[in-house]
Amino acid sequence: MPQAFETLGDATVRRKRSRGRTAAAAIAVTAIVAGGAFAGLRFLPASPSEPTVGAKVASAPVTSPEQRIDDVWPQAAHEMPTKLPDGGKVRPRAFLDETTVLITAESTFEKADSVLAYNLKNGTTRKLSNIPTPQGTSLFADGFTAGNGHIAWWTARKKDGKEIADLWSVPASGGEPAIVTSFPLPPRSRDGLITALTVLPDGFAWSMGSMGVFKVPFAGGDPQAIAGTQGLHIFQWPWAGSPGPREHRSAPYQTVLNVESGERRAAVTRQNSQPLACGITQCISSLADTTEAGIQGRDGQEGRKVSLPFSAVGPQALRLDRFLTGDGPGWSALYDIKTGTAVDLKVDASGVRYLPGSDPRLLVLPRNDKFLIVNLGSIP
Amino acid sequence: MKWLLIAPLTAALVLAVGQGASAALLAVSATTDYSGEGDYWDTIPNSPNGSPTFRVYDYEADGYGVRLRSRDQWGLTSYVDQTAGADTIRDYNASPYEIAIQACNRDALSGGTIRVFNCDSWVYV
Repeated sequence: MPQAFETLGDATVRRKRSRGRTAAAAIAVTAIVAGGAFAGLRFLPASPSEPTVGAKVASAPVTSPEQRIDDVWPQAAHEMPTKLPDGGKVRPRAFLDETTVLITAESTFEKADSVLAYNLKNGTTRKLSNIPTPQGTSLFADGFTAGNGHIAWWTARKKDGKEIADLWSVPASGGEPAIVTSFPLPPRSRDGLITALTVLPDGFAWSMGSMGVFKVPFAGGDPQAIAGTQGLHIFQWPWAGSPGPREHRSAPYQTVLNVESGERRAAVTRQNSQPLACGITQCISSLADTTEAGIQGRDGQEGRKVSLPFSAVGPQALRLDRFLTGDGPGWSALYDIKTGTAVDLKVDASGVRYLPGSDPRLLVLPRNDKFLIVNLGSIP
Repeated sequence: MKWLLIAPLTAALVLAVGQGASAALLAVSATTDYSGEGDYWDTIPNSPNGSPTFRVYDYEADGYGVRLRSRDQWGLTSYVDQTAGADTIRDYNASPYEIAIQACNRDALSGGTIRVFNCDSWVYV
């Protein structure tokens, strides 16, 4: 495995002169640097969706929405710190209730070692549990989810040449975490490992790579594959669909299956249009290079036209069957297809986006060294 | 939609190359798709002219970030780091002079040393 050791700062750009470069080239570079044209790799402004790459671009300029989310939906927009008072890096994971967010704190990069509850109203934090790190851990705790009185996550460890996942659970009120079940992980691929870990009324469910949807009761035991779900990924229980959340070329969940009833729904789109985002009951699709979009029910009933308030929208899930995020030059917006309301999210330009977690209500965005927490579920 | 490349380097990181909105001098000519342990490669056809946008995903909480390196026509290299953590994305725009991009895992060691490993092949734009 080729390795290199460099002594460089984080998140910076540095140029190194290669050996044997000609003087003429050096002169050319100097001239270009002096002219300000040689910029190398540059961060792009943050946006909450998956825009820019794979994006549609409006044919006419689109300006940012006039209203900001904090003014239009104040009950839904909250700010919280990105670090604990002791310096631990924080990550919001899911809502525990309307005003309490399940967060994790990291001791080192990507190593979450405690689960906490953060109160959005008064800014207080309450520790719920430690996060054990078993011997041989290859992947730290991830996939945090909450519901039905439980909090769950998973870790992975290497054993006898295999990678084994451990599914952990702790009561939502806090306590000592315990392993519910352990099972081999699939080979790493772009389908992902474990996605959309979900707490059901009687146990846990998750998607695993391209292998489909699995369940295990709270009491544990061997995971059971749900028949007919191979290649599907949990969207919102009991719905699973394809493509999965890590498909970058097209909107995820264009086809969905109710894994309990067997009902299957496909995306219905207008001619010459491509789905931008799909929910459980409807998809929004657009014609290339325009802001014109169509909202079409999966039942095939006549759709309606809307004008998107973005210049760029990337493949994403239609959150709660109604919310879509997108971008313009230097700004990001949230659009409610139910009411036609668009709001400026006022995110910062750090260039970081947080991928959706297990809770479809939770939108996490970077805003001036804080998190903007949006509770989509509180928007009427 | 103008996705040109999806390239998981290990399961923990993905490099994606696409066409930005700005005018550009370069075209993406060859792209790859690779997942370290899955041995999966894919080549997506060429794109129209465009200034390449590179999207770097960090999917798994393996303790490593991602370093995106670029090489220009004068042999100079530069890099940017994606260290926002697992389940995050960061986008980068290449200058018109960048000719190749490579993504690697990065690990911060003690004393400010950065270990760079699991490098993907260079992707020529």
